[in-house]
Amino acid sequence: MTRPLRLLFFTPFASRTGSEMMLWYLLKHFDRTRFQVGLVCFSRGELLGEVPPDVPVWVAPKTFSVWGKISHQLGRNPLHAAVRSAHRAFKPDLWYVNTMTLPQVVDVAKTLGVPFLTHVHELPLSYGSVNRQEMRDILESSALLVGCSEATSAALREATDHDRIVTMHSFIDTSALRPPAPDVPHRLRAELGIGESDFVWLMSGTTSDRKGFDFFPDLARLLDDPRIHLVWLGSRLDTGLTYHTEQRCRRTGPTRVHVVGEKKSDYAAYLQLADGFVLTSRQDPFPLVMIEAAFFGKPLVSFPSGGVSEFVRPGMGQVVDSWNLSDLAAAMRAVTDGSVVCQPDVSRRRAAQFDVREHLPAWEALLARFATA
Amino acid sequence: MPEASPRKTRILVITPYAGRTGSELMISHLLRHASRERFAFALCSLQPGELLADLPPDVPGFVAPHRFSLFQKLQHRFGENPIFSYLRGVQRRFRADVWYLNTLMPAFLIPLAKELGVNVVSHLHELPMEFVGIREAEFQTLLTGSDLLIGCAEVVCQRLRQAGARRVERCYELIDHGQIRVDEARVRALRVELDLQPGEFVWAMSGQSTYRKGFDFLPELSERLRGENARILWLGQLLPDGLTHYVRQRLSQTDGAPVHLTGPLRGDYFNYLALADGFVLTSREDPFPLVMIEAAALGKPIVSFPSGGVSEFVQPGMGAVVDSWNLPDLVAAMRAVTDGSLPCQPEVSRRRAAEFDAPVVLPAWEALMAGV
Repeated sequence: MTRPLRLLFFTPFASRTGSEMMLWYLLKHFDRTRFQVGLVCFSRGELLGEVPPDVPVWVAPKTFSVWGKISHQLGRNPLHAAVRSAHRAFKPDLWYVNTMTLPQVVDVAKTLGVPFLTHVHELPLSYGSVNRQEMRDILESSALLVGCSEATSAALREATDHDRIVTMHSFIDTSALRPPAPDVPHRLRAELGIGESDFVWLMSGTTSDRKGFDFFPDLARLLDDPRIHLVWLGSRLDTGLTYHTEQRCRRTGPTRVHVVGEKKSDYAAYLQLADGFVLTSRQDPFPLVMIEAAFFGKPLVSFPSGGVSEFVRPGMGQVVDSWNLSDLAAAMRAVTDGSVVCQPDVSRRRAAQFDVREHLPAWEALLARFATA
Repeated sequence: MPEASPRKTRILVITPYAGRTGSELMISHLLRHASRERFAFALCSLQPGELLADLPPDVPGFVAPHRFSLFQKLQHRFGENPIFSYLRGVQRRFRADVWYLNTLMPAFLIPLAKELGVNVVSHLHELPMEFVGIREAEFQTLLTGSDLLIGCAEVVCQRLRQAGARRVERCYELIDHGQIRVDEARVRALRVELDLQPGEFVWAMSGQSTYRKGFDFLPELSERLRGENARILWLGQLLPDGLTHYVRQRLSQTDGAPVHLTGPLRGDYFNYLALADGFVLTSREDPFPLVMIEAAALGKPIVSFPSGGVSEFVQPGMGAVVDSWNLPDLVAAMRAVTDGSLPCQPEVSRRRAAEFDAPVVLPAWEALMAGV
């Protein structure tokens, strides 16, 4: 019997972002007979409480204490030291770097000569968060680049001659997405002052410009209908943009905007109370919430912001071939008035194709191939 | 008995970098040209920048602590922000009536200004995409704690009012026409260096290589202009980041219209702008870019997305601001300029640019400040 492959995962925050939720689905479901997994995280995020007990965890410091700073001044980088320590303790065969935001990990991997792959969940708009050398290192030193959508892989191919780029679409755990109790969506609608026959368009994401939070007031103005509501679900970033957009949203009408924040316990209920999902992102590789909305049978309307163009099929809604808000609003109207016909079953079937159980065999096969190459 | 002359308003300008960005060049113009009968100025930068060396002799310059010593770090952690302590000292020395906060970034100083009983004027050169640069509470303080908010374009004022700001006034960006110097011989030499062919139409854009400036549009723009006897010059700093790397890689693989990335230019900036036949503003958001005024001052037609103040600036005969965010529509407008179906008159552009010359705009700014 062959020895299980030992994988050491690296992830930035252990937060409920799509890239990390997907990692947690993997941690929960991977085949224990074929893999042994450890995890290094750079923040004590809430998902650390949900790591399966057989997965050892190391938390490496991204910000340094006073002693850490002194140690750094003296030539011992506390982050590097923590990563090396985890490596020594776990003795992995392979490092699995989740997202492009961990260039320090790549530095240590190169020093140790350990093979690593990078699972990329970013499109070019996010490339600005790493410097040129870090970007080069990620692209050229990763033994394998995994794009979380074809759009992601295509951008990587444009950025490097590296030929080991594969696409592994992001997925969800449909078993974790239990429908809410039937009365909850009704109660939430009532709490928000939304009538039973009103049409609710939901968007979910952090309140960033990449997710298009700043589009919401203008979108409400274009929809201009008191029977249509816009709901933004997701964590509020502590920025002037959030404050400014919320202030504008408060002053807009007759279409009302509800910025409800992050609703962990009622997440599924908010998806369920919506009549449609509008993805306002400027760039979005393959948002999990898009799959989740489809799983609940909701029609989707979106800008051509990335993986959504690979996901949406006829009968599921519309990806507009434009960056004009007026075109997005027109597509939303076409859904509400029925001129774009949407079939919830088509959406549900499509979403089911992106369940972790569907994708796990391909992911495991990819790793096994990679390890033996 | 002679009438006592009114006391000068003492203005301490606080600016983030004292660099050569549009918002800080505007400050440089103000400090050079504003009335000394009515105002006395000092400048404090939060970083050491080259504009500090160009301050008029009557303007004292200060640089706030920007790299904290170990002592300052401890002070910051257990006591007061060292920048606050420094500014208390500056205020004791200069006794300003007004702190003039240039850009969003110094908004964190508003509580200190209030504590010291100093009026606050915030001059904003930003639109919402840049509001991510400060925290929510700071932005709220900016809107509610400034005695006057000045927007550098009507669109900026609108955005502030839409968020509930009350005392908002517009003062457009300005340029110093006297500094636009073109060396025709050098322009000819540059055309040779670039191997420009007769009839080739050169589109210039100027700005940092950021997403907000639309640097990532370049590869597709180049491809859409393939075979059209056109080329693109991107004048400006190339940031050492992953996005710039990505765009450069893509450009190296395209066979579309040639694209030249010049990097930052000093002496040759206006020569490059002068050799262009048109100016294309690819920004997704741009409050009131100075380079747009400069291009018009050189009589260049402008084509742009509706990214901000450009919609207030461009008038019939100057080019087109497309009512779309789609690149094919921008390219169609560029073609309309090159094939003459959209007639452009350089004189119209020059006259419009002249309205934004420092001596024209300054009286409006001085009138605003007199009301504080």
